[in-house]
Amino acid sequence: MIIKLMKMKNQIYKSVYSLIVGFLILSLFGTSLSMAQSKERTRLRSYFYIHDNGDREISVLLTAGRGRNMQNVSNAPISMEVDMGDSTLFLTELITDAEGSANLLVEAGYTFPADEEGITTVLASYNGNDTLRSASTDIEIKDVFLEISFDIEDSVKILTVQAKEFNNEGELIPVEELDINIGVQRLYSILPIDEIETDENGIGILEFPDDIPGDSIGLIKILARIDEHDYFGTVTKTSSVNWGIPVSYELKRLPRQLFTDEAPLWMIIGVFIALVGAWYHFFLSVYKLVKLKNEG
Amino acid sequence: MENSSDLMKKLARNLETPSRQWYIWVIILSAIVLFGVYALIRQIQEGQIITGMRDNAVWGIYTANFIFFMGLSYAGALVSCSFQLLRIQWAKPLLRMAELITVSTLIVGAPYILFCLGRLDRIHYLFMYGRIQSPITWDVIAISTDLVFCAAFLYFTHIRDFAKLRDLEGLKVAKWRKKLYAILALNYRGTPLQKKYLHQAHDIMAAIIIPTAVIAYSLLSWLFGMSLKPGWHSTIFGPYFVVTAAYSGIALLIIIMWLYRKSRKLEDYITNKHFNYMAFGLVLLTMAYGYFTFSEYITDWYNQTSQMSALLGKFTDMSQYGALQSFHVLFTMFVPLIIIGLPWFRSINSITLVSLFIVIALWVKRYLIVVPPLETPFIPIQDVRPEYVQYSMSWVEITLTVSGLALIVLIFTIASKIAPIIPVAEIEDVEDTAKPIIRFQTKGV
Repeated sequence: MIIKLMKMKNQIYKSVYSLIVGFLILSLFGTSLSMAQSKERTRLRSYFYIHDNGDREISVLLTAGRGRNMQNVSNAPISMEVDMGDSTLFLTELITDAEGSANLLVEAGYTFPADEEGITTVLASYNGNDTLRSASTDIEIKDVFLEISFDIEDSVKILTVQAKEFNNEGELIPVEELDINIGVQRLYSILPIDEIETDENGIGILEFPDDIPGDSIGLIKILARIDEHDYFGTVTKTSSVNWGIPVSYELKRLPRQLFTDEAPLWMIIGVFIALVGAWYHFFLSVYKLVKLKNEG
Repeated sequence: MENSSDLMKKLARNLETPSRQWYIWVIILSAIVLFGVYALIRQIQEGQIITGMRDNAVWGIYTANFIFFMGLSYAGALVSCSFQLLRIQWAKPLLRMAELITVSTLIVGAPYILFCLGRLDRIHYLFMYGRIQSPITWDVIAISTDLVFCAAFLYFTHIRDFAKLRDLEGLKVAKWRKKLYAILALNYRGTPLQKKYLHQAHDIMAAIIIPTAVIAYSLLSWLFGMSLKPGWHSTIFGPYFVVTAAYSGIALLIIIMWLYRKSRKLEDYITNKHFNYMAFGLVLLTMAYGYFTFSEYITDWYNQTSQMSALLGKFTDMSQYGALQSFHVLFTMFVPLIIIGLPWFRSINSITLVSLFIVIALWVKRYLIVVPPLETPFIPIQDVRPEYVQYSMSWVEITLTVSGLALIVLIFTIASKIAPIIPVAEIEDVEDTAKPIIRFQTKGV
């Protein structure tokens, strides 16, 4: 009986001991887990642009939060590197602006290290902080060159766009099956004209419409644009040509008549008739009084 | 009723040597007018900084007074000329009062717009460089034309009374006044030909004054209607102003009728019938005015922009213009219908009292037309002191307003000392057989 009681006591001690140890382990693990969970999730997105002058721009956007509650993160350091296979080449560190974006502008002519297909993989990473988790992204980029040329055949305006890229031997070769949007720059936006696709020579042709208004001498700015391509990103090339209808933008006279130099003719005639009519009757009645006086 | 010579003898007593009270009354009125002149001199010397007008609210009670007095003037012209043309016999005792309202308010009202000018010394530029396409030029032409026409009409209606006064024996007035009556009577002897000429002159002037008055007051309304300001830019303003003018003019005529009836004991000539007829006109105009006011606000309210919304908000906010707007609505649309429209409350005194409130409320309406829209522009002025944004009248403006009223009373006081306030010769013509100069006759009838 005594032995049984002793065993039970030992079991109780063991159970209590196990519970205390388990509680301590769980507390420690739970604390570190909850600390990890309290950090906000971040997301890094990257975009690639090739501008009209050949400059390239890699833009990254850092956001934090979940679902629809994603907020842009400002003043965050973003490390930019090029993936070299076994290693990375550090490019620079950028700081996100008030909109959470950081932009790396690379001038035309600078050559990135690339793989045998001419593709450069750029890595962007954010190391996180006390409240935000780390995030990283990569983007594959490649140079493309657009050329716009204009021709008129039998009074038909022909717009030709040619796209070229470097091959692994550093030679320029045509880009096939590339979708290019053609538009005309207007005051506040781009007027879409059509979409063309390049052939095996990298050439896309468009019969340009005749009815686009231009400036005073018919000059219009035509845009050829590749939108969010897998490697080329968003590429814009512009060129001006006098294919528009000349439009005179002379300031027209203000329609409000109070501001005109001269009164409108109808108003002058109207006022003249009204005044002459009124004063004629006045003098007529005065004349009647003169007659009245002479009669007396 | 007495015959015309008895009436002239009775009324002529008021024209004779003025009493001491009359002189005291004239001195008091003249002192108020002179104080107004002093205020005007101060304004010219120191500039508009001593008024409440500033960059934002560039107009104030001067402009409200201008519209108000011009309205009274045009209403007087419309009433007297319509009665003349339509040969309305019962209204003849009221004609001179209406004509005096026209001329006195025109003389007093027109200068108020000049007081708004920052550079009064350049006033002659309006005539030298006036542009015919400017509503201001239209107004200058219309008001000056109307003033000449109305003054001429007032004189025409006096000619026969001047002749009667010239011929009245025992009239105790100075010799120069007798001579003056003789000159102003234009040798009128009452011959059939002279009667004919005088009627023709009357009718021609009456016929031309009515459209002149309507056009002139419409032009005045277009000063506002053609401005892109919330509460001003309205197509209804032309007819609305004309109806408002007629409304205020009839109300003022009733007040003056009551004053002369009491002070000159003219109960036999300004009778209950006159008050009843004028009150009937007042009720009709109350309804017309209510209709126009409702039309103005309902269209503004339905299509309100942010600034229009702010303006309408000021009219309902008791801490801003809500109290004035409520006073205006109550005394121009509801009280007249109840007190005058319902027979239980209708009496000469109640009609006159309501008329007094209508006149005040219509002045308030003019103030509400001018000031709140100026304080609520489409592009609000920013970063300035509140007194530059909001208008508050100064002692100079109040003084000139009161002195303007005093001048109108003074004109009435002096005018009714020169000739009887009741047109005796007109009353003599109760059986007026003179054919109207404007006749509509259908052929074959």
